Amino acid sequence: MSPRAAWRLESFGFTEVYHYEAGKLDWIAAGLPSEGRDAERPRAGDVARKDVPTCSLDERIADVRARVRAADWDVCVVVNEERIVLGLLRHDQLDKGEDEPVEQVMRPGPSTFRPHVGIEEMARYMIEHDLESSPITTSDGRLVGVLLRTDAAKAANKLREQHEREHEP
Amino acid sequence: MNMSTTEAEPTAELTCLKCHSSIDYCSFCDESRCGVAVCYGCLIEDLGETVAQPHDHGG
Repeated sequence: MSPRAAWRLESFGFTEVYHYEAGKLDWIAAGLPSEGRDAERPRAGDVARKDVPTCSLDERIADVRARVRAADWDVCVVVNEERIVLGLLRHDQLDKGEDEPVEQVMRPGPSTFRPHVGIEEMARYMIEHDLESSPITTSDGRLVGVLLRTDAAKAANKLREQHEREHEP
Repeated sequence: MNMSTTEAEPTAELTCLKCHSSIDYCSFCDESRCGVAVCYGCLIEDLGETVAQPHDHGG
């Protein structure tokens, strides 16, 4: 949590409040340069689509649906003004309602994944769990993009083929 | 007379495929009826989102 949030909690009377200090994984998760054997391997953050539609909690669901469909997307991420992920609208939620605010129909608090996760692991999990898309966020919950299963599978296959070529006798 | 106004929904028995702990929903897909459910701890370990302590005592 931010120092400001920590101080606010202390002002409410909480005595055991700690400020989370970012470490190495947070550095990589933020997409900052890294070195080593795995540095060149594509990660979830590299493959995630950054142009995913977003909306706010109080928007009318019918307006969001029209905007998302017009952009040829099937998913929309609900964010606040700081681009912190608050919810997700997948196909089922986008089909619901007319005048209701997004907050009423969204999936609140969806599972999100860090940008440094290897693309092979993400592809495997997304196929196993039959998940079309997964939001990718930094450690502090800020939206990086949405990883589509098709993109993850293609990138993982490419990596595997490259690996096989490099290790051909 | 039945005084209860709501009835609890029957919950499916869900266990983590890796550590067999009892969970309410899969941490990857958020579904409570996932055939390959995984708990949060096993998921972040599998995806490399956490680093195992090099020593048992954590130091």
